[in-house]
Amino acid sequence: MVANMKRIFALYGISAKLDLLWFLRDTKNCVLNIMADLVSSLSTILAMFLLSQRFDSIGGMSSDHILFMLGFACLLDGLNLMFFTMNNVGYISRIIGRGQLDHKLIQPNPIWMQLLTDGFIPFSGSSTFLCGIGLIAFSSIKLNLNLNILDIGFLIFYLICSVIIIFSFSYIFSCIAFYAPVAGEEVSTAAVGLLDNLKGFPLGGIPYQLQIIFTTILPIGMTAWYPANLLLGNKLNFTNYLLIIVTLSLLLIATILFRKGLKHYATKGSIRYADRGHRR
Amino acid sequence: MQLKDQYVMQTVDIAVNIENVTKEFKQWQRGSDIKDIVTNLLKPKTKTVKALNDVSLKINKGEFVAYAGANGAGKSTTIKILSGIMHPSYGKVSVLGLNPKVSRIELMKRIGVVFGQRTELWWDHPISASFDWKRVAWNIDKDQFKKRLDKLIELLDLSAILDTFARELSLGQRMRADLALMLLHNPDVIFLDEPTLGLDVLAKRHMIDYLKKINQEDGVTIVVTSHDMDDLEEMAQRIILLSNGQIAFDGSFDSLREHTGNLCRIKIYTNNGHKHNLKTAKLIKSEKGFSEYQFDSQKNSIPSVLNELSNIDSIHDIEIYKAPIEQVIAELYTSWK
Amino acid sequence: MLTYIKTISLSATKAFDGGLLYIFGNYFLKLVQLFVFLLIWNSLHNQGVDLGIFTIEQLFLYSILASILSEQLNIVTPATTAFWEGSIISRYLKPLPVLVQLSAETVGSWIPKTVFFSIPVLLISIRYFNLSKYLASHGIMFLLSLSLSISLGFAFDYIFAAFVIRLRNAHYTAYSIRVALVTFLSGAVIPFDFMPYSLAKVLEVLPFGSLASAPLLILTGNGNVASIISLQVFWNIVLWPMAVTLFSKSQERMVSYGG
Repeated sequence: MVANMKRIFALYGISAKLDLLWFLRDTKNCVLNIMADLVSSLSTILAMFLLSQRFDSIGGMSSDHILFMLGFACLLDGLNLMFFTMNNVGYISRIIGRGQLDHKLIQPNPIWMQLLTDGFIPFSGSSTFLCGIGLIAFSSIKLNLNLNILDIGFLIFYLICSVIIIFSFSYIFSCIAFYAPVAGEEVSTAAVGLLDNLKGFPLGGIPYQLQIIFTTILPIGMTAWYPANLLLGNKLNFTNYLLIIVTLSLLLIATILFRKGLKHYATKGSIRYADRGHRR
Repeated sequence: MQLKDQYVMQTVDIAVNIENVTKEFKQWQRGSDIKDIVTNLLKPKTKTVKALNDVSLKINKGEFVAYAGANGAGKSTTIKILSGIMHPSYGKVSVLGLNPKVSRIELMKRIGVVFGQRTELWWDHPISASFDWKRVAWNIDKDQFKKRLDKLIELLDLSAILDTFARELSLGQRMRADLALMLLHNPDVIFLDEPTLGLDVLAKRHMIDYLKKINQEDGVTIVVTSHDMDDLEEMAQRIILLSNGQIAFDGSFDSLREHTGNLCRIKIYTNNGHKHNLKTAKLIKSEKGFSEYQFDSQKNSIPSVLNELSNIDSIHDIEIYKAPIEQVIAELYTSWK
Repeated sequence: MLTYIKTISLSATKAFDGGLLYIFGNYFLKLVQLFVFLLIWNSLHNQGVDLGIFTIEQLFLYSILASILSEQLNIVTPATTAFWEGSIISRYLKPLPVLVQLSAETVGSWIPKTVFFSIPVLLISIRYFNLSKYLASHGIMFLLSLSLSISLGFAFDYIFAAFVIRLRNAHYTAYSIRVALVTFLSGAVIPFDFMPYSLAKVLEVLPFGSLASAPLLILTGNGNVASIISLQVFWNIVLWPMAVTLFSKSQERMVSYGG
């Protein structure tokens, strides 16, 4: 356990170093990338923000509540970007579909460890995260929320759960790429895109049965709406433990399916190889 | 297949052991007409291909083995199975006593793999950064890493390109850097899949010299696949030829030549540039000033050929040499079709 | 002509490699995305808010058509990726105009989504959302506007590709900024009517507005057909010569960059 933790921190360290080196060596390109990430993240929440300003209240949430929720969504985006975007770690179907899994299999580290650490870009990937902190802080002030240490602890915990949900959801769909590399190469883009594009949507106004679906099987509501409402103290028609239940369930399903897919990959191999996106 | 010259094991330390390994793949078969779309979707046709068919072989520690075969013979499949990337459909595999399927991580600390058409370098970083990454990812001791890196930089002539971005390297430079990256953790066994692909003469020379050096001096076991037979003959002591997933030949290059008829060539340079047909040798090329012949020295001895040539007055020079191994192999491939 | 049809068919069949099940995953997710959007509009309608120029039925159709026609309203040809990979060179080795090849490949790539997503959703819309009524009254103008929008989309993509070649390593960055901005600025996600007044007016006259908002407004009967079509024609006249000129001026860089 201790040895594993040491390895993980060492791998995080080298990933962070490589990111910093890239940032310092190719600053122009790096700044452009940061801008692109920021524009991309903000554009997914801008639509809902404009709608909330236009209509004052959507799905039982005021425009300020929605701003808080969008801040949470931005923070979530930022975390995903910092930990799981580089090297297509969060979009594993691209790695599988392009036959690039071999690069991971010839390293003397468990696959799970590589997936946890390969995508770490704390410098170039921090823009959206910082933006999210700003939005949360601003909306908290507007709402007169006095966030104490416990609240921040819950915020971090809910963020981690949401990250795991997105990660697991992506991996569940990405397993398609094991069986159909060409058709499945970009399926993770669609899966993450679904959660990404809809994470800022308040689901309060939709029928209860659909709310259940969108907080469990298709966990759109679990990315920002549900955890934001928990933090705001708004009453929802669900148990407060639903986030944890969904997180653990999706993680378990993703683990089982991915292991199955890996076995299949080891049996069938990959007829494709494209170096596009490999360590770029 | 028919040609089997069992290589005699001189030592007992086995680096690679493949026992009755078969590897099958299913290939989709698709028609290219629009009307085939529905068939392809609902009832896709598949064909089972045996990439490896009951293959057994042993490689001792310290051996340098060439693993050759025509396109689609099963070379890359074997390398992938040995490095744990793929598992065999049937049979047993062990590398350094470890089962690649079960002990992948442990095995990766002791073997190195380079695929010629792929790079492990970080594209947007100088190669020194890739080396640093390797140190951490493989958990190599800092002092040992420094010593090893210095040695590799010198031997592979990397000092001038250490701070160059990988994306800006030429193919030869990139291959040398990839080789260095692979060797940094001091592997006991190396698998090289087409490492000389696309390299110019000088780059190839560097690579071959270095591989021979580490094999002879450090006792590293090397298995290399390639289509370049001359390179393989220069590097390896033993050649394993694959044909349609089975071992067709396993022995030295000399015994391969013997099996395939000891083809020899003779080039004569004449003053008048005339073509001459011989009974003991077949004319294969004739240009201004010289003619080249090929013959099987087991059927027509060299003295008999020379005797026939002695009747030609205008000869002022003669060269005799063994037929290029590439041609020997090509004739074998043709005979197997 | 046959050459282009063959190119289209090869491009279309690429995605069918994995069988029906594997295509289903991608389009199922798109369907869910559309469904959630419709639920949000419905939720707003139930709140009793003023939907501006739209009825709830029109708003549904706006989002449905934006989803069905997403590939046509925000055209992405293989041009940008081909420059990055260097595979653009292969197009120059064929006895066909490069831009037409790229266009044919793009059209081919639309076919899987059309078959597995667009047509089923279209049929559902006709049955449940009264789409046939709108097609009957505005169908011809909608198709004209859509054609102009597609044409503009191709021109825009080629201009973008010509620009991206100069960025070398930042091509993917520029591409992601483009996708994010154009989706929002074209009115495909949120109708301009729901944006602040001044912003809406600016976006309407920009070329982005002619990509998605224009045909969708015409179909839902909420736009001034004459001025929308005129604006689309204007942008086509302005951007196509620009696209062809920039593309040919950038050729040398493109081929060299490919290696």
